[in-house]
Amino acid sequence: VSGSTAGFADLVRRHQRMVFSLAYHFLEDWPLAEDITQEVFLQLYREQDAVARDRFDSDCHVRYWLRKVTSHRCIDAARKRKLRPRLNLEDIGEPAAREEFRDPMLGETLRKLVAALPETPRMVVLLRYQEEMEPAEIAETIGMPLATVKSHLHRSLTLLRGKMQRKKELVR
Amino acid sequence: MIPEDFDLERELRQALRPVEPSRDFSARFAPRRAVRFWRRPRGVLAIAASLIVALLIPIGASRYRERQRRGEQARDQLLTALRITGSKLQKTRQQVVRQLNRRDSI
Repeated sequence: VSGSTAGFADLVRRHQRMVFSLAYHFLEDWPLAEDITQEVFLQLYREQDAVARDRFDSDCHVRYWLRKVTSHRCIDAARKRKLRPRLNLEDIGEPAAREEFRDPMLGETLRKLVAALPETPRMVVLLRYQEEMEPAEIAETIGMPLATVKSHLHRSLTLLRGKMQRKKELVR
Repeated sequence: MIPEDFDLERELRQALRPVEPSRDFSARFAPRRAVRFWRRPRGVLAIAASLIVALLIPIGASRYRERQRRGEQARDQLLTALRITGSKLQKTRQQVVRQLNRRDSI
């Protein structure tokens, strides 16, 4: 982490996409996701001396730190603002038309289904499929046993697959 | 809407592609960071402590000089008083000696 303002601005530019995407896909709330992104970088700015002492001088370590802090802040924000009731798996509507090519509604439906998962499995799914992290890395990042991460992943995928299958059958 | 070759993991990767924040995000972030720095409790405390010290040093120095001046004034007054008292005592002693000499001569 560079101590200079220019270095820090460059660091923000390099990582803001990742931090914002995690927050946005998790919370499905653009302004709140931007607020969390700012708070995460402010925390990094305040703690950059300590971060540097912990050998967070490489981009890899900064990325690890950012993912960890973002995950915890998102989960806290969702719990505080009771976002879970905002989206319910049963409330997600059917896409209207059948299309030959990739349906943009399919992505939207999947994002809503993911956003309706409980906080911890939601973050596990995001870290796995947005950040392409291995279950062991996810376990270390959000501080939980590897077996729990695998269990969350398995259950979430089963749930999502079931929902998508039901929608597929309804369309036929 | 759901393709026959639907692969959930592939579709999840596609749906959860990273997205960019607003275009002005970095620009908005910079001034907020600057403002926030001054809002930090340690920053505010440091500024307040500096101001207090800057105000107290001249006040303290002025009071010290005033005390010193009064002390010197008091010392001068005491010395004057002692000198006056000393000369009066001397005169009284001389008068007593004179009267004793007269009594002896009678």
